Amino acid sequence: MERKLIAPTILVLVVALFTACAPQAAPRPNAIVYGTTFQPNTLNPITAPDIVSRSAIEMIFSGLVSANEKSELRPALAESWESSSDGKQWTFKLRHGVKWHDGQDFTADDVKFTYDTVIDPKSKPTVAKADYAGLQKVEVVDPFTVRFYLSQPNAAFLSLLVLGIAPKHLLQSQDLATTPFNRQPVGTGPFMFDSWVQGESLTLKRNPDYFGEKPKVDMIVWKIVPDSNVLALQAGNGEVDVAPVFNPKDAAALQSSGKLALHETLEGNTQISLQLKNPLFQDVRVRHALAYAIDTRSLIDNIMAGAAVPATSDLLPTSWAYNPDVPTYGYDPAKARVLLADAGWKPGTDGILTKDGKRFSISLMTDAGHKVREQVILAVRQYWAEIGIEVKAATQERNSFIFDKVLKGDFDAVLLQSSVQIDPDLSRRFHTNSIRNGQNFLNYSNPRLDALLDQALATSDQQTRKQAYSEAQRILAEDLPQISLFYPKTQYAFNAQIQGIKPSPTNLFWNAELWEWK
Amino acid sequence: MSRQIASRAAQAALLLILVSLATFSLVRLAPGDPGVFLYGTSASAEDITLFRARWGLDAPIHIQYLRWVTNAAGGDMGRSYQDGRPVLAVVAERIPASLLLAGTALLFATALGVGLGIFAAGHRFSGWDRAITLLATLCYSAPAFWLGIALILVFSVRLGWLPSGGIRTLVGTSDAGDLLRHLALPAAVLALRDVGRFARITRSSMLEVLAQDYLRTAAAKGLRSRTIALRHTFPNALLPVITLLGMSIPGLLSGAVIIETVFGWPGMGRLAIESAIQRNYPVIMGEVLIVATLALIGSLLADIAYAVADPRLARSERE
Repeated sequence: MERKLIAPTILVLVVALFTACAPQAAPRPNAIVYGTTFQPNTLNPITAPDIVSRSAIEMIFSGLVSANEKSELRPALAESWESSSDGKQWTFKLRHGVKWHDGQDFTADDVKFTYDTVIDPKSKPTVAKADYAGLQKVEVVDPFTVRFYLSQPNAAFLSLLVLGIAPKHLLQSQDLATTPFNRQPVGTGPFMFDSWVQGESLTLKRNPDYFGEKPKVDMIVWKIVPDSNVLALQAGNGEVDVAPVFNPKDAAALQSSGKLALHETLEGNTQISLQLKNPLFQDVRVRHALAYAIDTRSLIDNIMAGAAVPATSDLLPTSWAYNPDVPTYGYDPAKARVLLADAGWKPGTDGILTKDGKRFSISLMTDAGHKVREQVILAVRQYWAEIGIEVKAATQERNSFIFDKVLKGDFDAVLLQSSVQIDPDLSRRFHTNSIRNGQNFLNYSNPRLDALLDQALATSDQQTRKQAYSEAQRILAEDLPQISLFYPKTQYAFNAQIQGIKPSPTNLFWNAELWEWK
Repeated sequence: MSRQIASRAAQAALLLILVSLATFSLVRLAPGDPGVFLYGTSASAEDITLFRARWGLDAPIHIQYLRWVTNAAGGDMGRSYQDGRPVLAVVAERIPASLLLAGTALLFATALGVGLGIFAAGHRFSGWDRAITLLATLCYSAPAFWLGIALILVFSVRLGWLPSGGIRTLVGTSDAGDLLRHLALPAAVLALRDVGRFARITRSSMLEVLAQDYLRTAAAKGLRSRTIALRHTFPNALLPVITLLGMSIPGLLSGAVIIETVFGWPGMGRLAIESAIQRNYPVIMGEVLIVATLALIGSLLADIAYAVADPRLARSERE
């Protein structure tokens, strides 16, 4: 009896399953789904130093100023500003009538609260405090005027004020590390927080009261797709509307269907940093030889499938301070050998260069898992082997690579991608003062460069700054503490029906309120 | 029996302390730093120092462990470095997804695997038997990431029947049917691996029992072969299958790292990977401890099921 029931029950279940599974036709919601392999850590602008969190945060929060795709600064919560003649005081007039997403009024108190928290050594963790080290205090002049006091003039200061302003009424006397605000942010930006399911998605909805141009789509959804191969399939399939293209070789295939458009922007300089404490690299002729030995054009064509531009410095060609006329080192292995011979390096019995009984043997490392960089170090090992240098190429898991090797300066040569900053100031990478607390892990020190960088920060005149940075880029290209290879193109595949997209090198979403479906 | 369980519980507590000590040491011996995950190459020494101070990482390592044990004993497993939420909340959020995926897969794998195993044993050395053996071996040895991408290519890209990842439709309607469609591919990949294991184990265990004298008697009595297989052989061949099931229980929660990554399934396996990359020490500790506890409960349940399935075991313990 019971047994007779089994077959019909299974049948009913299977039928029910498939009926339930039939996809229902529904009108397309006015939403854009962004597929990404990364997810934010926190949505609190005060505590998020990383670029992934910040690109989500910049849709929810507004700063005093904002940057466009050319890294030009524009008014945001601040309507106008002026600096004192000595460059140490900056006064900002704030926009009236701006509301937080919870309906409260935005005022100068929120601005003071945000920056007081960042510079307070007791509040931790926060965005990089070193960036704001010159900020002494913030004063509320009236509810819509706020004044910043700096210890010394700093031309790059304005670019730091893209930092999202956080609401004092929700965050005061909260523990920054554990406040629920980190996951339920309230800002003044074009999009409001809706939901965040860890490992799955982040959903933002339109802020109808945004002070700028009102957003055109109702929702922007980040869909977390951890596997980049699957992400490419989903972009091709229409399961996501926007996605970064990780493998340059996928780009052509994605574009061929006609349903997708590609938008691209340049990424930071992919370069080989040399450890100048190492006696091997102290002779500039050796550094030049290393550069002449590398065929950058071939790296771009073969590894990047053409999706990169030869690099000359850490500044992008789109920056107003970029200097295109600096010494470059085209592929010339013969010249490299001559330079090395001049520097006293002679081939030994095993073909490896030697000098005073010491073999020219170095390690070249990069972070594991980044396919392009892994291929580049193997190619460079080959190029350098051809001029008689023994290279041990190795990769290491990213976190320990950065912590134990790069930041501690414990390397011979490392392949890295420099981060892109809004302001062209190069001090944090190359100034002597940045050796101890900063990113000058190369241990590069050049008093002439230090003076130029200091001088460029001390003036607010853009023309003077431009000249100083042009000269700084020339010095760096001559001294060659790092060998610049290329600026990779970040490519984003977009549903061709979406318009308004203009990715910037620092943020895809800087103008998300203007994105719309045709 | 109850004394048996009490002594097992005491052993389990001791084991958990050892597991926590081992995990703590391993995690901390691994190179890298949680602050670096956030700040990247733009980290300054000051930022890292402040970050470490905030989370008590500047204390001597044994003090940190003692602090952790004291708090954990009081039910406080610490907070995630990522967004400051309690570890238990971070882990609990991921459990349903893993449970659903692995539970569905285990259900299918057991039913299909055991069925195929019984069938293969009944038709030993026939073409069917060989075909099932071959299939089982293929399923068990196909790499999950390859199988996953292959199924996505066929069912999502080529045929367009099923979504290629995620747990629900993010924009628009999301109901039970939507969940099932998202579940189909990852559960199938996960189940196929276990089908092979269950089929192989059931088949060999059945064959062993079938060789027993009492079954020859049963056949001589003229019982139908189906009755022999299902009523007289299978219950006696069940023990290895129960062992395998017991061993699968921790897997229900630890999650399937590779399959969850390929299919963007927000489960425990992904959490494990993410927290390892972030060096999110409290989350790693919490997840390992919770999975270890469940592994212990799983093996305890398997032992109890043994006693139920094999009355000889229960009797010998009583004597």
